[in-house]
Amino acid sequence: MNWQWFHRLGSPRWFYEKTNAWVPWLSVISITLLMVGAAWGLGFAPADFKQGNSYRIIYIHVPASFLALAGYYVMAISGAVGLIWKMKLADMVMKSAAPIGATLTFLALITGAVWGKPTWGTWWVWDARITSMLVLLFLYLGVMALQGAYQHQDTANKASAILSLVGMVNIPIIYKSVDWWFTLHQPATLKLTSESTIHASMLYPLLLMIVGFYMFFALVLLMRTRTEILEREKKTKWVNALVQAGNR
Amino acid sequence: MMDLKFQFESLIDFWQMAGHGPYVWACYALTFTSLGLLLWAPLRRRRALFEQLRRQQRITEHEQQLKSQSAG
Repeated sequence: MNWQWFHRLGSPRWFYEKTNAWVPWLSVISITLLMVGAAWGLGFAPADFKQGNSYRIIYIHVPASFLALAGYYVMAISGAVGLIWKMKLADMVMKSAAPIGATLTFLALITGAVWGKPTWGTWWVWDARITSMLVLLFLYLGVMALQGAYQHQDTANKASAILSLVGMVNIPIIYKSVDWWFTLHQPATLKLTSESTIHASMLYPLLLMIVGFYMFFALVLLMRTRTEILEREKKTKWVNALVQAGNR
Repeated sequence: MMDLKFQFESLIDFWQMAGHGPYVWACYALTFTSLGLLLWAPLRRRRALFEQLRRQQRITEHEQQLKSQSAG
């Protein structure tokens, strides 16, 4: 197996130059998927038999929740890579992932609350899944706070990575909460190994939104990481050459 | 593939969503605003950085000009 690419990641500059072409592509794909998915879910998917039109919040709530969890994996794994291999780029990815994941977790919680009001009659309940998602938000905020808490970036990165890794225990709790406990939040509708319990006409826009959110996450993570690279390397010749070449 | 039909009688119905309008539109508005901010933040940081570096470069050029003038 060719591990050259892994060693090349030791150079943030190499990563920056390699990903130049990715940003425009990811922008077009993700924004298109989000616009089409949202329009489809809002206007062309049929209303739910029991919930009526409020269920349309699913097209935001489910993708945001998926990405809140996926983003945590990204943050924790890049933190671990940075810790083990002392790779600067991994630390930058970890730092960049935190605010994005926090925003998505926040959106998942808020849209869930707003959806809960007409559906369950309450904005909030200390249900297992909802509470563990709130803990996830606090973990993200903790990682972000640690980044600013130390004089040396290296110490901050170690602390953030350790918190991210310790917090990983929350992830299976979030996943399995609806199976382990009596919860108000419903169990999974989307299944990988058996048939999903959602109707196709509602499923397709949901899949578009899920993919769209994944692509959007990748886009924003990439943009943040690239900006972080430029900032850390702003004294180097290659960055100043970019500036001189008239880039904005 | 499948027959896609607009599910509402009019745009006003679309807006009202049979009473669920405030819930649905609040969620979508908040979400797209947040996503927009996530997109805009790194762009702003980058622009500010490049502006700072351009300024720095101009100062360095100017200093070098002065040095070469006084040396000559």
